Amino acid sequence: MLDVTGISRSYGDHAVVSDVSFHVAAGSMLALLGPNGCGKSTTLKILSGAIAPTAGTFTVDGAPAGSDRARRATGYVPDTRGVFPRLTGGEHLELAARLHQAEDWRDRAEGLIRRLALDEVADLPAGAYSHGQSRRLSMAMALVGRPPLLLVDEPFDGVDPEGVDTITELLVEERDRGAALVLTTHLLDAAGIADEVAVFRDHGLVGPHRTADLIAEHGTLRQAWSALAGRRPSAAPAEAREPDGSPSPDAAGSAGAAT
Amino acid sequence: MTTLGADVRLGLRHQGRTTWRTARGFAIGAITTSVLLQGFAMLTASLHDRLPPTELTTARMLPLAAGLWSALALLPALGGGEADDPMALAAAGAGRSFRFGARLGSSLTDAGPGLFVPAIAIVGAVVAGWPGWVAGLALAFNGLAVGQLSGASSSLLVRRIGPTATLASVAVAVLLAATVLSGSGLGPGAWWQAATDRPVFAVVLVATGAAALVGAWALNRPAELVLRPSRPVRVPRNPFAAVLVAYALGVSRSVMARSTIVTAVLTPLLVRVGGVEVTMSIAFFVTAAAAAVLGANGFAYDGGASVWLLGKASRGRLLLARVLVTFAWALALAFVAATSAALVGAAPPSDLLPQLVLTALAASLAGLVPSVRRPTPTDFDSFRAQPAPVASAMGTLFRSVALTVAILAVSLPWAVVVVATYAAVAALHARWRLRDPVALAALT
Repeated sequence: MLDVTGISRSYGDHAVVSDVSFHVAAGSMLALLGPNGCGKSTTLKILSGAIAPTAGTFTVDGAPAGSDRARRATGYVPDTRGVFPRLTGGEHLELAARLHQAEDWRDRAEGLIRRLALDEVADLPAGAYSHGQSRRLSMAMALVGRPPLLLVDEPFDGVDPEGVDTITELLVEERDRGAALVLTTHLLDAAGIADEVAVFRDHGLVGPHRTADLIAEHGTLRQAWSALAGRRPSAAPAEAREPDGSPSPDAAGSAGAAT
Repeated sequence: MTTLGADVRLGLRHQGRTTWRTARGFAIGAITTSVLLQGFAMLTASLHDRLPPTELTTARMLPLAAGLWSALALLPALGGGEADDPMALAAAGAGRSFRFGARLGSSLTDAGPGLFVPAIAIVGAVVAGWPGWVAGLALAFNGLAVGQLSGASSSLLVRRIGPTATLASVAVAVLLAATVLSGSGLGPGAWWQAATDRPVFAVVLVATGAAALVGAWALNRPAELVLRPSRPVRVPRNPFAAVLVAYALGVSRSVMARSTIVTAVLTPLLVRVGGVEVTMSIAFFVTAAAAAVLGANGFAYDGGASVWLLGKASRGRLLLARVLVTFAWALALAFVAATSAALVGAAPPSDLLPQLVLTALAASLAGLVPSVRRPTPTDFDSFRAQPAPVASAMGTLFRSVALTVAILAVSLPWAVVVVATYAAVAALHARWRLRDPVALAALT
């Protein structure tokens, strides 16, 4: 679904993304991890078509980057508020559905509004939304058109625990229906739902690796993150491992933000 | 009493500091804009032989007191009130005394504390000695307070259009009464003259200013408390039409757009008050200025949403939608200003109608190129950069005014050629800037 070949982005001598390549198949999810400022969001901005790479290229379902077909096939949740302050929540979803040229989107929009707890504010201008509500709305905008590729940048930022659960469920549902997903997050628990994980190191990408393989090798995603990102390993939480030393069911990621 | 006094002092200090930081650029921009617009009015009057002769002189151009009062009164309605940051008030605990101090500080310092108020007082002292100084301060306070009233009614109007239309019209009426009637001895210019002769008028100015301040206070409170659902609008099926509607709603629901309507109505009246014979050139420069305000605030302020949109629609369609929306709005403003000018004695614009439409188009094109401050390498590390509204507004305004002068200075066919050429250049430039809109994408 998504083929990325050697994309780079630099500003003068300052490289932000360097020679990044990966492939995401339909029905699978890739989590991009890394410390702040490592290039995760820049990578997703490039893949969304918002900014151009200085080198490399990518295709979306065979369509070249920047083409109308690639745009329609891509749902994007930016890491900023990403909403129009004077449009209501309902109007945002309608706009997103129209731009995706989606059919029969109304029921889905209503379902998303309900599940993401936006019912009470759907008729208010989005400029009045809290940060968490804006993030939920951005997520709903990306999902309403059922695009085959979803780029999700920090979807849990500012969202309450129930919202994190709901967004996680929605992402898994999208994968199960056959969408390809690229996710960035600092919540390693949440990143554990991804099939594959890649970590940014010195603005280049280490991986992707299968999530299960990483956990088997490093014990937790936290440890894997530290190792792959070249960071000083932190003590693995004792409760994250079973008495026999095998990863616990919760050990997909250790609690807390990575940075 | 001690706590109350400290709280008020804290509020005043907070607001003064915030205002000083935010208002410097705004005040400089406002002064430059005023000078530019007045110069533009003179230039177009002398350039275009079809406009009635105005015999403009510096002495008749705009009495300083009336001009500064008008600026002080209008600027908060056009954005100067931003210094009164409700988030900062809430973060500080928002005690009533703190809020009072912050409101008072905002009212006293809005729209450039270091420039307008000393200027009007110093000029008063130079011209009329001690009474002039007092009169200047009194007039400045009055103008600031009326400006707060006007600004408060503007923000309220957005949230509760129906019930608050009456309140808003009261604010407009205050402005009109204070400016239109100067010929009868009631306008700010006449007030200033009277206050220098008889200090009791200075007291009257302070008293009316205080009343306006209380009115602004009363209007601001419900504006902060009320959040009203927007009237739902159906988004068309066609993707381009959908973008068009989204942009149009963004403009029509903004305080800024409503403020430009007020400006379009008031400007001919204010120029008339200044002792200048109103010509139809007023409609042209109001259009140029208003479209510049709208044009400068499009891409510059909706950073996150713009980035999302750039990933969904082609650059060409986005630019076309933007021009169409701004053009429609500028055209409407041009006719509002022309009607207002006609009401105060200018000839109907029928013989200049094509030029007026062309000006609206040119002014829309002038705001086409996204203007953001050039990010630094440090910004890229955290991917943060800030919009540059002052630079953006000033650049757009200069382009807009220059195009309008050109339209008025040459014959219609040549004016069409000028605008068409500029349209091509602006479209290419904008597409080039949006080809890799890193600065835009860096906005948060």
